[in-house]
Amino acid sequence: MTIFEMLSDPVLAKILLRAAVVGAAVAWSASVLGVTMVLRRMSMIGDGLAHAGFGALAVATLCGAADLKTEISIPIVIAVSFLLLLMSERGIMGGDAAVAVVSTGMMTAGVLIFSFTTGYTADMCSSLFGSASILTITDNDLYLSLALAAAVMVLFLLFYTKIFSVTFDETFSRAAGVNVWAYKLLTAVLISVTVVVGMDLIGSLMISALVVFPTLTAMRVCRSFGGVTAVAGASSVICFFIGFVISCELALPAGASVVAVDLCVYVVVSVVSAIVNAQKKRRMLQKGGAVS
Amino acid sequence: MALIKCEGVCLGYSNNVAVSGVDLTVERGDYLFIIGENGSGKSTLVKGLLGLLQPIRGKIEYGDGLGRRGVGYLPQKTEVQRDFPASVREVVLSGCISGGFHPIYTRADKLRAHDVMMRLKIHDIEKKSYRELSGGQQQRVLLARALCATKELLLLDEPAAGLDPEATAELYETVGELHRRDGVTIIMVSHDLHALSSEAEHVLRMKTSPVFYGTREEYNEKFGENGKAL
Repeated sequence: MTIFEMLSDPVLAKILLRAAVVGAAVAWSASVLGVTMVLRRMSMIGDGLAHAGFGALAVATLCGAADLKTEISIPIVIAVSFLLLLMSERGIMGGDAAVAVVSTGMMTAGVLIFSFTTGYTADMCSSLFGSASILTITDNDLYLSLALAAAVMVLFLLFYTKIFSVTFDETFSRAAGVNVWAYKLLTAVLISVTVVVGMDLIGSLMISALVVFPTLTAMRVCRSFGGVTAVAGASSVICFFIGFVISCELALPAGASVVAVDLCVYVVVSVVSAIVNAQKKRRMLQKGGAVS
Repeated sequence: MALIKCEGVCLGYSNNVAVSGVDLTVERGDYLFIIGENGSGKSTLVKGLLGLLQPIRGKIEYGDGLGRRGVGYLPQKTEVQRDFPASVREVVLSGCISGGFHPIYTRADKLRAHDVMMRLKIHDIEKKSYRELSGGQQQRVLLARALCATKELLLLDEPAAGLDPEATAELYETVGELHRRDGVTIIMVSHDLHALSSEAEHVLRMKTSPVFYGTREEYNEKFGENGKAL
């Protein structure tokens, strides 16, 4: 069945559009938050939180509350993000070691809980690799993802100048009287929500790709922070739609398809920008040679 | 009243005293050079002056209309900034932020940033990306950002780190000009004992506690011109 045939069926169209909106909202939020995470050398926190999300999901399953799994997972993941920030801030453990400990710890807990309760199920698989079908996306996910995107947008509209300053130079911002800790916490909380909401569609093993790739792509083309933020958001949403259509047409899992598109775009943009830069350099050298 | 007055200041982290017994007065229009080897407590003292670290003992007072936020700070370079995609304009403007609600830069902010960039002769590269600049130009941009924060007092922490001799001389010249022409009060921090600028009026030599505090002439008399002889 092609995507146009699906769209002509009202029931299928509703499921399809719902998944598309959830995915686009998550992709945009992840990439925009990703800009400050990647630049602050904290990309791996997204990954660590995604693994924590898997553990949290197992806890939700243990409680027997399959309908409330998102609602149970979000506070757990937020708590983990808080813990990670605290650990790196207080110098208890280096940032990357803390992420490694927490993410593997939560994964282990998740696997053990699943083994004791339901065994390896489709539920567990879909939270790891993203769901094979988009039928699992609920109306709840839709509202949550829209609220998330709105929150990220409000954060950036109201505090853009501060976010730039904190990302570029923490010490300077602190000396200027900015509450750096509050911004770090706020981004960590929003990243946590992003990770949990996106886990079902994209998969917890791959969701951090949405945090990292758009920023890296944008950094190849843009020279300013504002440019990188805008381009990262746009490229993430576009890549999501392309990946989503491909996954529907070829009956592939949505998460892997979207991440594959992100990866391809990154590679192509990197190669093209490297060639353009090399040419620019050569032209400048030639010009310089002619002058001297 | 002096801009900054320290009385018997002790600073440190969790029972580990890094700075002790600092008495210091910075008057308006002063040029103070804080000198000392690595690990002598300079950076800790800087944090104390900026209010990022509360003194364990003693007190730091700000006077003559200078709040703690009136200090324009030029921090040491960080790893994050090496490949940071930000235009010169964005970096300079970010000096205008304060602790309060500041969603967009106002017209006054933009004018101020423009003035500062003109003064430091970086207005022609305002669209360029920070990561593409030379080390000397980057320091100029950070200096401009600090000037956006204040017109009164600049605190420069190892500004010459990683610069070649030519760029270093140029930077010291720019700072000297800000001091002479615009009357900006300067506190310069360096580990380079040779770098004692001829502009400096007062010198504080640190080794956890002050080894010397006085005018540059007295300092040269006591330690010799090269500053090494102890």
